[in-house]
Parts: sequence; structure tokens; C-alpha cells
Amino acid sequence: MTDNEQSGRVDQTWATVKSAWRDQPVDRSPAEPSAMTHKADGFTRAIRRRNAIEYAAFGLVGLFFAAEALGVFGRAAVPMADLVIRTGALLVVIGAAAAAWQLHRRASAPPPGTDPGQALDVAADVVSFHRRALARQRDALNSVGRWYLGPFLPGFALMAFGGFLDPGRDPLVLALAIGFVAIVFSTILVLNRRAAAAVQREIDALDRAA
Amino acid sequence: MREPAHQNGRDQEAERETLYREASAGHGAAIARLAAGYEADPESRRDLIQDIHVALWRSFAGFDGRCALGTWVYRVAHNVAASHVRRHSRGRKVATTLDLDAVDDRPGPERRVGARLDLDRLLGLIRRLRPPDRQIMLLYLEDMDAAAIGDIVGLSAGAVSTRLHRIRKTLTRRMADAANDGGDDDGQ
Repeated sequence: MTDNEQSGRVDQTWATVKSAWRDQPVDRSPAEPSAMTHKADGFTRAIRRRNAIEYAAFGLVGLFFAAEALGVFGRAAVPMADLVIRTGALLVVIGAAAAAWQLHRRASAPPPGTDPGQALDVAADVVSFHRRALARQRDALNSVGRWYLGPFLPGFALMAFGGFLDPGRDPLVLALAIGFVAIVFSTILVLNRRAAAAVQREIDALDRAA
Repeated sequence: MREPAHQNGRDQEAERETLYREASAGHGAAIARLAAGYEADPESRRDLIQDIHVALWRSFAGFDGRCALGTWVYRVAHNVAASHVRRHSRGRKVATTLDLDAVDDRPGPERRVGARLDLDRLLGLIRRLRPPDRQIMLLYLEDMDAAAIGDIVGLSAGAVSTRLHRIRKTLTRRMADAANDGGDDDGQ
């Protein structure tokens, strides 16, 4: 068989595939505009519910440290240490609120185009849209230390410092608590950096393809 | 005389409704096929179709006619579908990526395929393609030419033709291999 014959046969095969594709039975959704408005409102309600759960989780953290700030769990033996620890706990509460806000702003996105703010973005060409989505994801992962972990650091640091000023606290327990927080924070940081590197590889592949 | 603001708002809403009805009537079936190229699970596929329709409805508030209605519809549909796959692939077994560059470029296996091409198997392979290859292939199946595909995807017609040639060749070979092995290549 000559190259031309072979090429013709391949084209014919794909023409058959294309007709099979277009002739396949499809599940067509109801397409009434009123149904679309209702569905769009449903998304808004679902997003509000999801946000409420996020806020509740951060609220629990905030409540615990607010109780610490108010001295509910007992007071430090030295007034200066007590003041530092309680100020640190108050900063953790503020940090939790800041991290919750950032999480909501960055991660609680509805399906693209269903949010009025993104309605036009979703009509961009496919490569640009996909690249922007990946870049947003990479940047959020890379900066997780700043917007997710960072807000907690001043409060935790101040509480740790207050703990060292308080002679009533066991230094070993204090060191273990600091070590635990450091390990959790480092793990979150490393995992997110790795995920960001994987997304960057995907962006590079997309750029090469374009 | 200027029209009252509420009158203007009603006109815009009516125009949006007209656009949406036109898009839905003219491209509803293509949207459903496209969803099948992204999502294997029937229930998730129905959700995806709904998401695409909602995104279209929203987007028509800003449709300025600078591109054809069909181009706009396909862009929105593919962007929503690709995001759907990204969101839903978390926690699900991710299919091995079909890496076109890694495939052996042996000549001539196309002729072994003949009439054995099976649409489900082909869909499984297409679902494993990375963007924008998946979009290019799905638009090709809708019988679009390279220029029209390029408008939607954001690549030149030449780049689309090159990619299309490679994707088609690879898929044909994979189909032939799968048919010979009797294997199941369904993705996702």
C-alpha cells in the first residue's frame, strides 16, 4: 500500500469515528433560563454553607485562644509572663481570623463562570484560562507560609516567650510544644512547596506545547 | 431621550436570554458530547453539563460579539470542563497521563486499526490527554478545522495542525495496540 493510500485510509477511519462521535446519544439538560438562574442561586447558597463550615473551624481555634487570653485556663505565676502569654493568645485569635479570611478569599472558589465575578474570565481562550488557573494554584501553594501559617506565628512566638518567662512551666513540656508546632508548620510548608513544583512542571509543559 | 435604567436592564436581560437560548439550541448536544469527553461518571457528567450551562448563562451578560457565538460557547464549555476535572481529580485515582512525547513513532500501525475503532475506548484515551490536547481532539471530533480550533484553544492554526497530527497518530496506534491486546483503556 502506498503512503497516499494509507493516509487516505486513516482519514476515512477518522471520518467514521467523527460520525460515530456526533451520532452518539447524548443526555441533553433542560435549558430554561429560569432554571439557570435557580441553579446559579443554588451555587451561591452552597458556597455560603461551605464558608460557614470553614469559619466554624477557625472559630473553634479562636475560642480556645480567646479563653487563654482571658485567663480561663489559669494564670502565669509572674505578672509579666502572664501579660505576654495572654497577649500572644490574643494575637493567635487575630491570626486565625486573618488566615480564615485568606483561605476564604483564595480557596473557596465556586465552579468557574458560575460566580458573577468570574463570568467573563471563563470565556477566555482555553490555553490562557488553563495557564492562569495553574499559575493561581502555584502561587497560592508557594505562598502558604505567608497567608496561612504566617498570621499564627507572632502569637505562638509571644506565647512561647511568655512560657519561658514563667518559672511555673516545665521547660521540657514547653520545648515539646514548640517542637510540635514547628514540625506541623514545616510539614505543611514542604508539602505545599512540592505541590507548587508539580504545578510549575505542568505550566512548563503547557508553554512548550503552545 | 435616554431610556430609564430599568428598561435598559430589561433589554440586556432579554438579549442574554436570546443568546442563551440560541447557544443551548445550537450547541446543547455538542456540550453534552464534550462533557462525555471529560467525565466518565454519568452523574458527575450531568453536574458538569449543568455547570457549563450556568457558566454560559452568566457569561452572556458580557458577550460583546467580538468572536462567534460558537467560539464563545466552546471556550466556556472547555474551561468549565477542565476546571471540573481538576477539582474532581483530587482524591480520585488519577489516570496515567498519555504523554505524546514518550510514544514510539513507528510507521504504519494505523492500517491495523481498520474498522475496530471503538468509541468508548477512544473516549477513555481522550480523557487521559492533557490540556490543550484533549480540547483539540474533542473539537476535531466535532468536525472543526484547525483555524476554528485555534480560535477556541488560543493556538495558531499551524500549531493545532501539528498537535492534531501527532495526537491522531498516537491515538490510532494506542487503539490498535489495545484492540490487539484486548485491553481496557478506559480512563478516569
